[in-house]
Amino acid sequence: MPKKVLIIDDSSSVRRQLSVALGNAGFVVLEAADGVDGADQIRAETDLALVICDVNMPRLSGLDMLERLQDEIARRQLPVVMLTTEGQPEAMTRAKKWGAKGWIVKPFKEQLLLGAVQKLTQ
Amino acid sequence: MSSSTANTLHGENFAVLDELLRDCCIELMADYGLPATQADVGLETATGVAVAAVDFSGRDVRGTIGLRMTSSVVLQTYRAALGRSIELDSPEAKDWSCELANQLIGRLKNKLRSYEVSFNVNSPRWLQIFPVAELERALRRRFICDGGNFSGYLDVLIAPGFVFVPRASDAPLAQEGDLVLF
Repeated sequence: MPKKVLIIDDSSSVRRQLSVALGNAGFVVLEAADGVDGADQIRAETDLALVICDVNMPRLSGLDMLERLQDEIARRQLPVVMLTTEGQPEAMTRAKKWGAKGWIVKPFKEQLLLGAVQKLTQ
Repeated sequence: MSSSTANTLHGENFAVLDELLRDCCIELMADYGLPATQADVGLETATGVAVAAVDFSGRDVRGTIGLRMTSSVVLQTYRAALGRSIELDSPEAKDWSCELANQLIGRLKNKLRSYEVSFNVNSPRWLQIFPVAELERALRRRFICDGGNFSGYLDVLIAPGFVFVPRASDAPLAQEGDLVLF
């Protein structure tokens, strides 16, 4: 059964870029355009294998979403990888504290990303 | 502080930002397979352009970064990233222009960390009209690349007395393209 990955990013181009790469690798891909929609989908989709989440988004940032859902993410052992333009250690530390399993700085290298997704969804 | 000292600091601050803007623009396009060289001539008269901007604000700096690109730059970078073609007037091209501006401000923020400067970044916006008046006072770097050209703009206010001094960083910074697993 194909594993399900949720992409949360306000850029439709980035969502499409990730969606094509993950789809070609055999994953089923769901999309959300901000942290509010992303949180709703995380709660609703109980069989998610992984979440890839942007940081700066309208309505609710990726880090704020992570903080709100940290208990649920921990309980479900749901791997979350942050994908952003920024590489600030302070933000990475917060993401790690709230349960994220990885941090990718855009523009991402497709093979590197797929390798991490495969590893985290095993 | 005397006015001449203030003016010197002002000039040094903007020299730092100008250099960082140049590096960010070149690195951004190079990552999408578009090596660029700086141009001295005005490129603002070109038609078929996309302009996207991002506002940012922090304790020491606030302002707007802008990216103005001819159609070929938008279309070539999109093709490099997504492996397919789009039309310049499409929603995808507007979204991609915004994403490039978003990545430009991300690069600047990452570089400014070594000066202990940080700020919050707003969502990027696509501009239908080139905001001449808004960007006239901005730092501007123009570039030509294969088949087109682009310009980076940085309109910034710096807190009085603040000086950009590079400092040794105690924590490693993830660079563009890096993947860190916790």
